[in-house]
Amino acid sequence: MQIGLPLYLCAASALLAQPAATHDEWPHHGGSYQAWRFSDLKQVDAGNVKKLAPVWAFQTGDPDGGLQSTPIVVDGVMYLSTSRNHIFAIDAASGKELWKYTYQLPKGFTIFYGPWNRGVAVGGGKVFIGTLDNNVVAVDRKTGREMWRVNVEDSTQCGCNITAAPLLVKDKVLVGVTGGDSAHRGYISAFDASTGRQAWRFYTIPGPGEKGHETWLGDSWKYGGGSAWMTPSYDAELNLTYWSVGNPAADFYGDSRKGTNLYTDCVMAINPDNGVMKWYFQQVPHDVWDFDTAYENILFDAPVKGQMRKLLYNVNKGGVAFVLDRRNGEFIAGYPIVKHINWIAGVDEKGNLVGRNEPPLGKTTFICPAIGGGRSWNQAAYSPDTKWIYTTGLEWCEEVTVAKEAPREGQTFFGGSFVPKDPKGERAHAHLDAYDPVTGKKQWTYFSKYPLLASVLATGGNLIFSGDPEGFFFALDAQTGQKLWQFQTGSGHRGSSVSYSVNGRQYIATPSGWGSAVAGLVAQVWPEAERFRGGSTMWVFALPEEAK
Amino acid sequence: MSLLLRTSLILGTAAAAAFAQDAEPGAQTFRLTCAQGYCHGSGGSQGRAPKLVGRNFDGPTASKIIGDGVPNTGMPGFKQRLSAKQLDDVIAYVVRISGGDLKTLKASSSGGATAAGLSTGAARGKEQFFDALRGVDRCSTCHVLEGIGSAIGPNLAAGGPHPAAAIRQGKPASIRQASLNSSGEKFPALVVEQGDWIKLFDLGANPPVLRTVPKSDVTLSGGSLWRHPNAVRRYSEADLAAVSEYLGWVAKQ
Repeated sequence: MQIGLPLYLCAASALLAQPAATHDEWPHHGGSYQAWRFSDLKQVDAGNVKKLAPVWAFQTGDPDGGLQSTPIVVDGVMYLSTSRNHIFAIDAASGKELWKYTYQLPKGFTIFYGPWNRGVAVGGGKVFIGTLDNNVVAVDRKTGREMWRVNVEDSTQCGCNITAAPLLVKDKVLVGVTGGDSAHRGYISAFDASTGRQAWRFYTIPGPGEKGHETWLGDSWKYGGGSAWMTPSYDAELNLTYWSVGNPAADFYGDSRKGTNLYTDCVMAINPDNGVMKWYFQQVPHDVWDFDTAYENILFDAPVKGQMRKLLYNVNKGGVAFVLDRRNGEFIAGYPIVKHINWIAGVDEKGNLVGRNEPPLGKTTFICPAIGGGRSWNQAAYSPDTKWIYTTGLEWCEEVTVAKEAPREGQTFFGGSFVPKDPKGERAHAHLDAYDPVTGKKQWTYFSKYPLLASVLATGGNLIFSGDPEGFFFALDAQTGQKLWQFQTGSGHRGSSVSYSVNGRQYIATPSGWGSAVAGLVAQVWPEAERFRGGSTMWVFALPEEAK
Repeated sequence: MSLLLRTSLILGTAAAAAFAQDAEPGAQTFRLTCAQGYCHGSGGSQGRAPKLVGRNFDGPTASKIIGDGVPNTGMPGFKQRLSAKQLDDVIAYVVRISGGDLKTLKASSSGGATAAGLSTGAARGKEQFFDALRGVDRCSTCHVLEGIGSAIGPNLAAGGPHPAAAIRQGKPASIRQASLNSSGEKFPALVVEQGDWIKLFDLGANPPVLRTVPKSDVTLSGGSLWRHPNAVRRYSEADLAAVSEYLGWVAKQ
């Protein structure tokens, strides 16, 4: 940086204000702590996006599992993690590799499900990553040298690991673990960013003597899943992190865990300093469909009945969006974001599910949406310009056969099996939609023949970006949903695009690389998906210099 | 908590009802194990894991992959997870759906879980050693046995009998006191790699952190205050007696 001090001071004061839109950098997993995935850059806009062209591409050489990452961009450097937990530091303007950190998995290690990773956190001179064998690692931001690593729990024993990007809040690295479909008791951990020492651990399933323990039958709490497998968001003013907790285990067989099964399928507000929970809201009491409340929590303010409220938006795997007051968890609104839903009849005015359609033991039941979700974990975006949420939705169903199952610690614990199917009366498909988040009124819809499994990016240029499984990265008009531009990146999209600027030039960057658990299910409904090409490349676009 | 990772006798899903589609013996095991979740999909039609239909597996190949797994991938070995009959049946099923030659199947695979041979006390000791409900304060936070845990402390499968009192006391001789000049931190440390950069376990909190510090920044001295009795303070005498019995069993394996 040429004029270090004034810019530094500027950055420091910006940090205190916690802007919800990003500008030159993409400092956090969701862009900002509020997880808007909105960049206010407007050099690229709906008028000139047709001229958008690639300026560099970066092949990671680690294609197994695809590229599910969200890059972090700070101070002109992009930090990109790959499926097998390698980290690259890349000059964000030129694409030149600055360093690479190669994580060594233990020899012969059996990877839990498959290799994938969704990103890093950057701050305090370090880059943080969670690993396939359940370590949290800090490397030096300038050199890529490992500074510390800590094993959270033996991955084979717990049937869990870390695929989510950690979140750095003040002096702590916060991260959950996967394992919601394993016989395992989930938790969230915080580690001291400078030393790696564990600061606190919050079990998402209360133990004996703790409030909520009574919501589990017998010993079922010991193996009840409840994994917080995505990245939280953070409100600095309220000093609360917002977590989403996934399904209870066994996924489909619920008789051995009678009760509401707290805090599975809950949105939770947790103090990042000490791990104390302030409030929770359970979306799906006693889940028997594997409809995790696991995805991102978007923090925004909007009027409700004439009063400005501090709100939180969350979509669950069952295809239902919930809007809550993020100060206290009060229910504001709940509405479906997909057409094919039959696991419930709806959500009442208090946020309770009505008309539950629970698949009975030993029978095969047709359930919509499919286990991969009415939406997957790929994140939505919020634009302060339109005041709309932009989210994908998947129209597919499944046949679920519930089977009695006993837990075996750390091993899969589904309690049944499923086969993805087309919905009744039409082919499975997907859409990307704009919503008024409070009323749930749909503003426009963009149809996709194939499932949309990449995150959405919104920009100040009145643009929405995302990618499809066939490899097309595309731009839509944020107000109309009209497609304005597309580019074939060579492999399907399962990661999260971002925007940033270096020396006054705006860049749009997207991972390209088909893979993941849900992508693996796709060929069972869309047979042609078998030929969708894998890969692992970061593509970066900008307007040609003369067109700026 | 029953930790039966490497020694589970039979698949817990065996109680599941058989369905019409499970006409052949390996079909149900496949459906509830291999096709389960996000793996090989219904009838091996592909999930996240590879499609099996059309792969033309012969018996020995299927037996090796299903029994031992494929290292460095998501494919675990099922030798220890299924009974011998379940394993044979599922191998036959996979060979058939893959379009392979059923004549290449052996009469019986060499796999299949064997009885653990654990006494009641040793079994209880094993549970205590790996007890997940103890969070980060369990033996396996610092010791590996049967492939589970972190190899920070000594290998307990060797070194003769470990009476409960000896477990309580531990052998902290190699633990030193580290002082970092830059931060002023002082903590008990186990050095694992020397050089211009020193790798050491910070034993100041559980789980221990493997830290890399510049040689110039660290002063190492004897006289660490770290003591094993503190590490095992949440284990009762009865717990440690059971752990001792389990260590004796492991040593014989």
